[in-house]
This record gives sequence, structure tokens and C-alpha cells, in this order.
Amino acid sequence: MKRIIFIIFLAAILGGWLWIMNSHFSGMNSLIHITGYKQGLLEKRSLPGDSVLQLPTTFEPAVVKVDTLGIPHIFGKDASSAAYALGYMHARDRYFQMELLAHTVMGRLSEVIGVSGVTSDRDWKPMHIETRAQQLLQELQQKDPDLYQFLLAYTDGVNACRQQEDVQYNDPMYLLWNYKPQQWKPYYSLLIQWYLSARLAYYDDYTDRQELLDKLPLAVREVIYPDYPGKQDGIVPQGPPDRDTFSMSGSMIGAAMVQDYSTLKTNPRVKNLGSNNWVVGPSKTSAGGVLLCNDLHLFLTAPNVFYEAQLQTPQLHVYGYTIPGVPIVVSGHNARIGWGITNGGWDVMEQYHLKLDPADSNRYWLDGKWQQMETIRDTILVKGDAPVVKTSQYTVFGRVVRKNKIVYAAHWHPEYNSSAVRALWRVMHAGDWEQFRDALRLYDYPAQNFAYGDVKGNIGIISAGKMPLKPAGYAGGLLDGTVTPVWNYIPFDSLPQAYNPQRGYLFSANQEPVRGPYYFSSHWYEDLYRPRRIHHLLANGTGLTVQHMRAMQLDVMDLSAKDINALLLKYTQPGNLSAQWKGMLQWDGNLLPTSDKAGFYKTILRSAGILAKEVATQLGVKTGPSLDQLTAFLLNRDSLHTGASVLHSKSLFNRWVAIADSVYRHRDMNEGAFTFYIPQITFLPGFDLQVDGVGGSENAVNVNADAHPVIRTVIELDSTGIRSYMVSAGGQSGRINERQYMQQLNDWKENNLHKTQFGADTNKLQMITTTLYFNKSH
Amino acid sequence: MKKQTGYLILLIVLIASHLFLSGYSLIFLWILTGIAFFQFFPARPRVWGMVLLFELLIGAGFYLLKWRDDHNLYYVSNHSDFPAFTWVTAVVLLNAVTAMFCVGIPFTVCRLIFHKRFQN
Repeated sequence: MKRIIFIIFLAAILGGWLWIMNSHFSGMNSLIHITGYKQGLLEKRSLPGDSVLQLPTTFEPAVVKVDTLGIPHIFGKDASSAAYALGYMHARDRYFQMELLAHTVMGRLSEVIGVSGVTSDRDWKPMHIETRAQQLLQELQQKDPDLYQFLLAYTDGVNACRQQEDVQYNDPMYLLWNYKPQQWKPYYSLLIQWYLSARLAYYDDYTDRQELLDKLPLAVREVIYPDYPGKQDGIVPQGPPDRDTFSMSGSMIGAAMVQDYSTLKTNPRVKNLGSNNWVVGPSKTSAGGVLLCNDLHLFLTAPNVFYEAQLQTPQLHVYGYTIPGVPIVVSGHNARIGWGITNGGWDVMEQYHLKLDPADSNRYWLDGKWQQMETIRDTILVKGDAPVVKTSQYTVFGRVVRKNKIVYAAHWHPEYNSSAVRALWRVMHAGDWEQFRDALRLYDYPAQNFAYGDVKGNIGIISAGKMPLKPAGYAGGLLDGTVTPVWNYIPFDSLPQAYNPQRGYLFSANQEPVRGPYYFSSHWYEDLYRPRRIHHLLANGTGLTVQHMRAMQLDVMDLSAKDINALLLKYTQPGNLSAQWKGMLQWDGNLLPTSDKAGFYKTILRSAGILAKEVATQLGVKTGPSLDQLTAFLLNRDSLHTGASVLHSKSLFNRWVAIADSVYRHRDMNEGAFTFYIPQITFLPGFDLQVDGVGGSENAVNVNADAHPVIRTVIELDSTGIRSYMVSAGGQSGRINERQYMQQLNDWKENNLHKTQFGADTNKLQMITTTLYFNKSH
Repeated sequence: MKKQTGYLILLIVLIASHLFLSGYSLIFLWILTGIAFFQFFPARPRVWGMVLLFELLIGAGFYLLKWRDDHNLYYVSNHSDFPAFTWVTAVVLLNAVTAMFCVGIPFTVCRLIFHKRFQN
């Protein structure tokens, strides 16, 4: 008997151990496969550093020279051959990332990473973006045949790489996620438009905004939640119009729909994402040319979302940052013009408050009668698990959302159309301001501020996008959901834009584009102190050079420190302050990572969020004031009667001081104030990279908050041509087992931009390690 | 056969299994090895320990001959929280324990089932 029990015990040990080794935790591969000596993680091979490859193509010949940074310089006989080569290189370096991104937008992420992707798929699937992308590709065949052929050739290149190189074997992600590479389809390249729109223009806080409108009287909102706390520097220069500034006149439709500025917009904040761009004209540069700079702030992941490449054909020569999966330069230049983008953050999501039938909550009141909602069930396939069914209801406005006893329909404008790839395709071919403007006429979502410079010394900026007109008096909350909607948009010629202003520079940092007749957003335009700092630096700058631009991108001055300093002088006695608060009295606001004062200031910023929540609770609302609203109130008012209670500025500020001291005492001593982590793109545990030694805050030019400048560019344009300098917060390869995976991280920290090899002759390119020859197979 | 012959064959089988097999086929081979080892060398007393020792030696061999000079290991460790040593140790130990159980448990179970054979 004992023997039998012992046998069972041994069998249980073996079974238990094999169960653990064979389990697919969170959709990942089993340890048996990951740790295998033959095909496991340690058995992978990095690609050889030096090699010459001869590869077949069905298009004209192309040559790709890859330098030590992993940047491909592509020379094609025509557009299709270059697109084929770019597709090959994107797939070679980033195919897993490409598949991940495409499947995310299609609501099919669970097919790649299993149950971990279900939450994302539940959000994406009901939008049916895959079908829309397929339709868009068909339309492209008629509207833009050149781009259509370009995308087909690109797709062929991607799939050629997938077949000719063992993508699955080369990239450990396929092993770790137990996924086999699938075929790339041409419409996948269009999906990126929705991905970017979702990251940059999908706001879902209108019920919170409505709460502010409903609960707080105008007099209170004007004081605690002002739209413009007084430090704005618009994208289009204000004051007397510059000679060459475009007019801001609206169309007849626009005139009928303009908002009433006497109504305050509510202002809940999400300020994690944003970017900077600025362009300086010949009057302010040392060499008499144009300097155009761009740094894009996004959630930093490894690998980076951007991929640097040069593409040259007899008709097209562009250099800059592409997104793997899309053969388009998003930020960069061609041989005549340069461009850079920042997020517009416009309210392109509209939420319509529905009136439901008390007898049947599946019916809503529309144009004087009850309408039945349409119900659609989508099936989400889950790798290694049972499918999930997502049921959604739709109205004439859009999808129905039932949240906190409020039922509304969400109409997200990008969901129904997207032509960013078409517009950027034309931008790549533009040679002057007029062509650039014409290209952006097509641009819709996500709205972006495009900075422009050319070799003739012209500078410009356009806030481009398709902005839905709002009803008169709209203040940022829910819209009426009982009348059939009519959607009109601000005409392109009425969008904020400026060209060759007298002051000699233009910039954007996600601030309000212009104080004009049109409503763009109540969401984004808080004063992040960032536009003001950029404005200050550019206004005072003369004889500017590339080095000045480089230093400016690294600037970590936080102007909010001056407001805090003023509050300290107004409301406190130095003798009663803690040592760290006393230090703030003499501090200039420079958020250097080595400074203890800067470290404490990060605590002050964090404490402002806690205080804002307390203020919101006191007011009986969910949304607290932003930092600039809070400081503006405390500086300008001693108290405010809110009806039920009174807010006293002095006691609020003293509460802020106490919160900061408390947070500082309880801080994690093992972690620096400026430490942050770059997660692996699938959030693999153990693969997030710790970064120290980077200063800044959400208010500094060098943003260091939840978002970071994922890439930086400086482009110098003059009559002799274009020279560009770039750096990425990561590297070119998407494979963790390659040197180029995070190769540029240290250079990025110090903004050591590398000079690009734009325009160098094929045989004169420096530091080339790998060459790929694509020739027609015979 | 000499006492060492069985262990030598076991070592060769383990090396070959790592060179040519992976995943479930590896597990299957190891379990078969345990049963076969009982069939041909039923009286060997230290199978568990020897498998563990051999696996550690094989792991060290793989490290010295393959992984040590491969950029793959070092780039992976550079891009994660774990140094190269941790990766190698974890991989070798997981394989060693798996092999020990897969070979040792079938061997011991066979001995327990056919215990009368040893009494003669």
C-alpha cells in the first residue's frame, strides 16, 4: 500500500512539474519551449553585423545600405522598388510590432497575445475598423492610384521578408508569445491612422465635463476652472496680424455655428501626451537659413513606435521617421521642405445624451418618436481560449455607452473616415508652401499642428484636421441626443495657419491654436507652461544654430516654479516652512535630475494633484482644477464662495505645503525623483528598462512625465540644401536580442543627435554594415 | 556491463536530446529514457542525482561552447532586468530539474512496480 501511495506521489510531482512547465500564463508560451536549448530564448541568433545579401524582387532593382545605427538608406529605380525595399526592412526589424499594432486596431489582439488582449479588443472590435480600412483601400485605387501601387509594393516587400528570412525564429517575441507570423495585407498600412487617433484624440470624459457645467455656477467655473489662466501663447501669432498671416474668416456654415465665448468651457485635463515643434526663419538664425525642430511626446515603449529611414528614387527623396507598417515619413524632410508635427487635441469625439423609453431601454427618442437601437454581436477570437462575444448597440449618433446611470451615444469622427496616410503621402512630395497646404487639405485625424520650413527660407505652420462644428454656445459637455445630427466641419482655409510672420518664428506645444471664432477643444488647452517657455526662448534668441536648438530641446526649466515662489511669499512665513520648502524660495525652476530641489519640486507637482482632488470633493464634482488653474486661483483670489462652502486660498495653499511635506517624507528612498521605466511593448515583466538622469516635468520643454520625447529632429534648410539631425529614445530594431534595440537611449538622454546621411551618394555612405541588393529573379 | 556504462549512455542521450529535440518531444524522450534505463540498468542507485549532475554539466558546456560567445544572450540581458548569468542559470536549472523528474520518476516508479524482480 505504501508503495502505491509513493508511486502516486511521484506521479503527482512529475505531473505537477510538467503542468507548470507547460502552462501558458497570460497567453505566453510555456517554459518548456522558452527554456529549450535547441529552439529556446538562448538559442536565438542576433543578425550578423556585416553582410551582403542578394535578394529577389518582382519590381525594379533597389539597394539598401544599413548603417551601424540600423538605419536603412534605400535607393530604388522607382517608387514601387523603394516601397518593396522599405517593406522588407520594416518587416526585418519590426514585424512583431507591426502585427501587434495592426491586430490591436482590428480588435484582434487576442489572436496574438491571448487573454491579455481581450480588454483592448472589446474597445476596438465594435468600431469595425478592419472593414473601413478595406473600403478605404478600394477607394484609394481610384483616388490615389500611385499611393495604392506604393502600398501594394510595400506589402509585397513585407511578405517577401516574412518568407525569405525566418522572422519567427529571429524575433524572440514570437517564441515568448507562441505566435506564428501571419501574412501582411495592404490595408493593414492604413490602420495606423486610427491607432494614432485613438492615442491622441479619443477623449471619454464628457460626462465629467457636463457635471461641472451642471453643478457649478458660471461665477465659480470662471474662477476655479478658467480656460485661459492668462499665460497662453497661441500657435498663430496674436496681436496685430502679421503681414503674411492667412485670414481666419469662416464660411457661412461656420458663422452660423460659432460658439459663444461668454460661456465658459469646462476643462478636465489629461496632459500626458503632447509634442513640441518650432521653426525659426532666416532673420533669427546664424547661417541665414531655416531651423525646424520637432520632438514627439508619447508613451515611451521598447521598441520605439518610430523607425528612421531614407528613401530615394528619381521622383522622391525623403528622410525621417516612419511608423513600421506604414511607408510614410511622419516627421522629416525631402530635398526642399521639412515638416514636424504636434498633437492638436481637438474634440473630435462627440457624446450625445440619449433619452430612453422608460418601458424599453433599447429605444431612444429621436425627432419626435421612439427609435429602436441596432444590436451587433462581434466575436473576439482568443488564442488558447474560448471566443468572447461583444454585444454593442448603435444609434444614428454612434455606439451606445451606459455609464454611471447616464446613457449616451459616442460619435468619434475618426471612426468613420481617415485620410492621414493620403495627406502625408502628398506632403512627402510637396516642394513649397502651396503644395504643402494643398496636401494638408486632405488631412483629417488626428488633428496635428504641422510646422513647415523650406530651403528658400520660408516658414509656416498649419493646424490641420477635420474639426466638426459645434452648436452655438457649446461648452464641452454632452450634446442633445434627441435630434438627428448634421455634421459639418471647419473649412480648411479657416483653420489656424500662419506663414512667414514678422517675428521670424513659429511654434506649437499643444496649446490653443488661436483665439478665433471656432471651438476646437475644452480639453487640451491648459497652459502647460511649456508654450510660454518655448516662446520666451525663441523670442530672445538671435543667431540661432543647431547647437542652440539641441540645447533648447533639452531645456528643463519649469515656469510654474515662479508661481509657487509667489504663493510662498504671499501665504507663508519662511520661519514656519520645512527645509525643503525654504529651498523653493531661492530656486530658479531648473529641473535638473541631480538637484535635490528639483526632486522636491516633483513632489510639489504630485501634491497639486492631491490638493486638486480635495478641491473637487469640496465642490462636489469629480474633476479637480489643473495646476495652472489652481495657481491662478490662489494667486488672484483670497477666497471664493461656492454656495455651500467657502474656499480660502491661504488655507488651501497651506494644505498644499503640508501634503507635499507628507509625500516627501514617505517617498521611496530607493527610487530617484526622476527615475522612470520604459516598458517592453507587450509589457513583458522583467523587460522594462529603468532610466535615470533625465530632468524635466510635464511643464518643461524636455517633457518628463508619463510621456517623453520619443524622437527628436533638428532640420537645417538653406539655399545649399538640407542637413538634418535626429535621435530616437530607443533604437531601430524591435528584437530584444539585437544591439540596435535600445542603441540610441544614452544619446537620447543627452540629446546627442546624429547627423543623418541624407543626400549622400550611394557609395559615400558612412559606417555601412549590411547591404541588401534586390534584383529581379530570372 | 560495467557500472559506468549505463551512466555514460545516459549522458550521451541527454546531450543528444538537447542538440536535436525541443518541447514535448524532449519530455517524451526523457520519460522513455527513464523507463529504458530501468530496463537495461535496473540496479543503478543514483539516477536522479546523475541526471541532475549531467544536466548541470551539459548546461555549463552549452554556455562555454555556444552561449558565451553569442551576442544574443548579452543583448537580451542588456535589455532586461536580469544579467546574463541569471538567464543562463535559470534556463539550466529548469532543464535540469525537468530532466531529473522526467528520467528519475519513471525509473523509480518502474522499480517500485517491478520490485519483486529485485528481490530475486
